This record gives sequence, structure tokens and C-alpha cells, in this order.
Amino acid sequence: MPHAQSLLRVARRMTSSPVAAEDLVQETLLAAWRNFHQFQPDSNIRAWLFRILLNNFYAQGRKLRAVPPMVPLTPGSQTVFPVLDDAMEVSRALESLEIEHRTVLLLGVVEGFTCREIAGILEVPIGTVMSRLSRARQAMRTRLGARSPGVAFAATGNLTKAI
Amino acid sequence: MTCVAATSLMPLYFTGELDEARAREFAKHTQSCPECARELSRQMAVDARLRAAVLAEPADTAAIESRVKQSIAAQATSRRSARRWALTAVAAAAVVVIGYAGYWALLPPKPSPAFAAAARDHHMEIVEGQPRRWRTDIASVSDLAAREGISTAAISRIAPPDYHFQQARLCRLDGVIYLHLVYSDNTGTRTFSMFLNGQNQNHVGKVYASSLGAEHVAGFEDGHVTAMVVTGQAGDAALKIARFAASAI
Repeated sequence: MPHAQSLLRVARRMTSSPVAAEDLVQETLLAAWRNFHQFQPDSNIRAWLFRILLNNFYAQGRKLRAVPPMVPLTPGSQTVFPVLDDAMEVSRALESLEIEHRTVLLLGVVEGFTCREIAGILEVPIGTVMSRLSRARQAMRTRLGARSPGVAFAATGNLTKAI
Repeated sequence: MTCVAATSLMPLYFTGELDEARAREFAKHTQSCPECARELSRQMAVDARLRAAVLAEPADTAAIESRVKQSIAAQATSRRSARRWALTAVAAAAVVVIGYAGYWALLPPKPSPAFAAAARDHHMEIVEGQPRRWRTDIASVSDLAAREGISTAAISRIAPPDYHFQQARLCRLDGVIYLHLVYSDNTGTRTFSMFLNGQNQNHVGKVYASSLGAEHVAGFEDGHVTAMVVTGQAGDAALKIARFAASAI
């Protein structure tokens, strides 16, 4: 499936469980199939699929929302795979963001949509997308602290040795 | 450009959406303002970390794919409303949404009797070339077509541009009379059969496309006409021809 993987990646970061994410993607693809007559042949199929995904997500309300993790980041809970360590830290930071901020980061930074495309997907003005992206980036950086990935990797190296 | 203006344009800079003039001003500012330059590179580093973190996670969609295909197949066979534009809408949607590779797989396993009969007929008469009385002159073919409510002009119009009418005869498929039209391309290597019935006896039933042995069959219903396309060409040739005919009939 050409776009299912992108949809699943984003769904996983928005929903509360892997099962909820799979259900959301499945429902999105079926809705796309049912409503295919509404799709404009010259427009962007990927953006259209994401719009369905997000509409479904918001329509299903809170039950799908991811709950920010309550577990603090402690050395004991770290993985022993150093390469995954930074990913885990970034993931936790992302999960702790408000859903609106998480959404624009996933669409704009990870999936590579333009601000104009995101505006279409979310059905909001482009100015809103730009300010949301700026605030989301700021929030992400605040949560990640001032550390650069290099420092994070170095810390991981020590941690791995300590274990 | 001020620092405030540069900061507010950063989202557009990252997505490559700044127009030429603003991109030039933005570059000029960040080259001369160390604070904005540092801000830009910090943000790029965080973006890169975010991308790497999310993209590193494998996304296995095999289970979802199979559930979606099953669900589409079930709905495609039960939805009466899908019938009229069965082929064009259902097939196009399935192809775009779940990818072409899965298309044949999601079709119902048992083709309708009319589909099977059409495939057999095409195989015996066109592939094996068993002798039959064919009509090739357009005047007598027009007579046959008129009985099915199909105009002379429609005979050539329903074939894609690279095909021309070759021959026709009446045949019986699963107890129903069809006009069997044969078309081939200019090289004579690609051929297809079009079976038309003007009384819409619903023999295409709930099946829209199928593969039978070496033949691919695709059918559609439009108004009073039931049509089936049979060809030995691989892939979605039958589907494309049927889609073309559905829009031209």
C-alpha cells in the first residue's frame, strides 16, 4: 500500500495504543475507498488521505487520544540500545506535546507536507499553520532541553558502560 | 528584514515555500545576523532528530492491508449502488487507495456464470480460432447492434483509440443472447472481445472483474446495457478497456 505506512506512523504518535492506530488507518483507507468519487484527480492523494485520517481522529474524540506518559525519564528505564536512545527521548518529548502541536510537527517535519498542504489537511488558514509550527518547535525544544544529539549519544555511551 | 520577520518566516523557509524575493531577503538576514543563524541551525538539528526518531520505527501495514482488502471485497459484492459504475469507481478507488497489486486479489473468488462463459467463448473463438460465421461488414453488424439498442456509431466509439472493429456475431452466454464484438489493434497482436446485451439481464451480477485461466474479464452495467470485456492481455488491460467503453457508451 503506497501511503499506509505514512498514515500508520502518524496515527501511532497520535493515538493511545498501537491497536487504536491500526484501527484509525484501516478506517481511513476504507473511508477513502468509499468516498473516492469526492477525490479530485489532479489533487494530492497523500494530503487527501491525511485529511481523512485527521477528520476520523477528531470525530472519534478523546477515546483515541494519546495520554502523555506519566513515567519520568530515569536512567533505569532507558533502553540498552544506544542508537534508539535519542529516538526514545525525542518520542517522549513529542508525546508530551499538545495534540495540535504534535500534528503539525508530524505533518510538516516528518511527512514533509508544505504549510499550504497542512492548511488544506487541517482546514485552517496558512497563518495558523505557521504560528502553530513555530510554537510546536519551540515547545519541542523546551522539552528536549539544550542538549544536542551529540551530547545525548555521549551520555548514552556512559550509561551503557555503567550497565 | 528584521529578526522578528525572519523568525515568523522560518516555517515557510523549512518547507521551501518562500518565494524568490523573500527567500533572498531571508538568506541575507540570516547571513548577517548570528542570532538568527544560530536559531536556524538549532531548529534544523531538532527537526532532523524528530524525523530520525519517527522514521526509525518500522511501520508494518500487512495486517491492515489484508483487513482493508477483505472489507472492500465484501462491500464491493454487496453494494447494489456500486453496480452501475461498478468498474470505474470501485476499481479506480481500490487501485489508488490500496495499490494496484492487491486489485485482483480483492475480487470475489467465484466469477458469475456470464463472466466464465464470456471467457470461454473468447478463448475458443478468438484465441483458438475455432471456425464461426462472423460478420465483418458494418451494415449487417449495425442490424445486430440495433437489436441491442446500440447505435452504429457506438460500435467504433466504445473501443479505445488504438483499436478498430474487426468482426461480430451473436452468441449465447449462460442462456442470454449477447452481441460479440471483436476488436484488434493495428499490429493485430492485441485483441479483445466485447460482449453486449441491451436488455440488461443483470448477468454481470455482483462481479466487476475477474481472471479466468489466461483471460481477464471486466464488466459493467450502464442503463440498459450490460457489457463484458475479455482479453488475454495481462495486467489491467481489460479493466482499462471496460472503463473506456463505460465512459463512451
